[in-house]
Amino acid sequence: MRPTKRGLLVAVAAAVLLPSAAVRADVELKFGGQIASDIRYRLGGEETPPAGPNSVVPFPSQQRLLKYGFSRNENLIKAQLTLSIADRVKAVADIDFYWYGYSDVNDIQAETLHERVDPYRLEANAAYVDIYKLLPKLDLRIGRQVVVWGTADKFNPTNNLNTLDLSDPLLFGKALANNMVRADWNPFGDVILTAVWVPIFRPAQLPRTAPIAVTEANRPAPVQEQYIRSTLGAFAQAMPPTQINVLTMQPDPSISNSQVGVRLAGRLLGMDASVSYYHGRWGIPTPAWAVQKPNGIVDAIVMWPKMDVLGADIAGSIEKLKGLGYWVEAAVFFPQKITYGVYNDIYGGHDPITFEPKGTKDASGNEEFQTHIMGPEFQRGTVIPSTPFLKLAAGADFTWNKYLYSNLQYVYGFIDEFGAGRQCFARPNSMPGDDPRCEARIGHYLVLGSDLKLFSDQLLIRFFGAFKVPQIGDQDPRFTAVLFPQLAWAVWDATEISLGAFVFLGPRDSKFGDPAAGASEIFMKARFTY
Amino acid sequence: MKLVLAAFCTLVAVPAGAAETGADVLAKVDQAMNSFTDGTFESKLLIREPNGQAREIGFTTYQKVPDKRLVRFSSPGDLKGMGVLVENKDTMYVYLPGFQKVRRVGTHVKNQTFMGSDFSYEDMSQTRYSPTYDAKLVKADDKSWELELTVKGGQETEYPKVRMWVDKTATQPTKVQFADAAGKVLKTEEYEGYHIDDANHYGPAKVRVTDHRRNDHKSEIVFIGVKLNSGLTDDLFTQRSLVRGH
Repeated sequence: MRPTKRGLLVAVAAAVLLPSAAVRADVELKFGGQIASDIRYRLGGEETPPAGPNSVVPFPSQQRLLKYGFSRNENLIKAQLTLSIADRVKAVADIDFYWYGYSDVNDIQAETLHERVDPYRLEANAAYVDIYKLLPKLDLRIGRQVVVWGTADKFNPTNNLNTLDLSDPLLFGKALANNMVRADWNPFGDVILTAVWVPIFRPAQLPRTAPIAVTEANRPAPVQEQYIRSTLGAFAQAMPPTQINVLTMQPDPSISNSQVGVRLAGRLLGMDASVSYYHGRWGIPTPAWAVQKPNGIVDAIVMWPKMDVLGADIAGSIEKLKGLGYWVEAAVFFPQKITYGVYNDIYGGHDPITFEPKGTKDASGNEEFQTHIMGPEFQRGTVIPSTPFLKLAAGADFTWNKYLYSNLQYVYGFIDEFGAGRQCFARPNSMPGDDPRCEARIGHYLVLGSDLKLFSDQLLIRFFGAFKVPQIGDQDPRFTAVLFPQLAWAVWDATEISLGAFVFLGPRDSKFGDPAAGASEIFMKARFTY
Repeated sequence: MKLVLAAFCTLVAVPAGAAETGADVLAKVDQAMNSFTDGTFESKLLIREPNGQAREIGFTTYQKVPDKRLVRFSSPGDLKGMGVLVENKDTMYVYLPGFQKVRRVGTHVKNQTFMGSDFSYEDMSQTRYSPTYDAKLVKADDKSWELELTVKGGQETEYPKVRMWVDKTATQPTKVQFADAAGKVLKTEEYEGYHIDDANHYGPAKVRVTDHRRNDHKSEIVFIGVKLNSGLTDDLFTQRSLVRGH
């Protein structure tokens, strides 16, 4: 019997659809996410940007940070999708959609645009494909992802493949996803060799207060040599800048700017142990040039220093101490040397300001220089010396009973600290060129806290704090700390309301009192996770 | 216990008329509780509050006798994707999907309640009594044994004294009372609905725990699906597997 046209169509359709239906039957789909709200109020911060005729952001704007005012009014819808085929392939997408909750309407045209009346942003935390057992004992992951290394709690000096989201102190330096290729080889037992390639560098997300660190006129020049710092300070005093523009020099998307990392992890004497190597860049930019232009305008240029990092970590449990958990994580950083190129464009040229060593020292033991304006070029000030430096985190945690958990950690080198030598702060109410307060760039910290869980874990009372410990050589040591009290109530399955505060303590010329670090906030959050 | 996962047994033939000691009976209980090579237990944890409300947590436990365990949480949303790997009594890992990190945790977490319930991590990880306790048979009838357990010298446990009622058919506990050194009962576990769940194995349908220190706060685990001796490989009980999530 001759097939009809309709019969042929059905046969073709069946041939096309049936195999794909068979394939799709193997795909397992999981969907989840979160709906959340976050409202914060700022207490006693500095206005950012300051109101005034030179303000970059037009005044008034709801996006300004006030001394007292709402600093966050955010809503989040998170969506996570996982597709997997047996135990061979998994594809993961994790997208955050945020509404800022501020309008950014600085003219009548803006008020006609949805994205200005109700600004939003999208953040992809993951968009990758896993291929398991690509070769025997070899897994591959390609795409936007986070690779977390290290055994310490939150402070991980060996964890440098992803830069950090420093925009929100409550995230405690959440890693930012980036496009990567990751291979894991598990030759035997617990031994895993991981290699990661990151083609394009993604800078850290800075807090909204960060520009203060480079735009305040009285900040000392970020150089190590005391004489050069004083000289540049004297220049700033003589010609106070009226406006500081901060420009960036991003790494080119070249192969030489790729990041790579290798880590070997396994078990040693009952401990988890690993060694790692990373080649790439530090995620937080550092000043590298300053160009004096006419009318008091200064262009400051920042860049992201290259670095190599050798790391190691261990973690375990001490049964003789009732199962006390412990960890030690350390990394030696070998940074690219960054110098401070200073140029004077006031007189129509591009005249370098450099310094010739005199070979003598002043009464305090500081090296003396001769200042040269215009050529020939001599030495620049050093922002980041090439001297290797150490960062370390060592800690322990313990559960006392069903209700109380405690965690204590010593941290040498906070998450934003980089480079050997010293950093200097402008003293409160100081003028450009005034004597700054200097201390070691890599600081000692004690981070400690406890969780108290009540009512079947439905109520969490948390109190954590990080305290800076002065070290020898710090000028006029300051008490400075951050405190994080929080009350979280799991009102029902997957539903939580929390109240709390993040409190910065210390004077303006200290680590946490510096207005560039942020300001104290109280917060109220609600979230439902599905 | 300690319990839960271990509450699956073979139909061990018990010579009803034999003159048995407490140690004999306890050995049979341990044998029955661990008489499979591996198991997959799909479960629902209900945490009952004094106001009558119950929170529900869904999780699947993969177990390879004697020590290895992998627990994966499927609900509610804030726990979904979280995993706990117990390699042995001294080595535990937690995977928190929000941090995308496997963290080695000290065994001190055994003191914590399991997700706010009346079960502890220790409850979830211990499946043999004989290494920890000496047993005395205090009563026996046609259907059950009653045992009195006392902690052995040199052993540390939160409950130095235990009283256990054992069903002779299942060779499994139907009720266990955990007490302090003075004999004050701190916690009671009750096992219900023993049935042949897989190839001549007995398992309870439900385990209920009452914590007398928390005003008789109650939690129960309901077993939804059980698969025994399916050939789970050691690869499943690794940190890589914990991250993969399947």
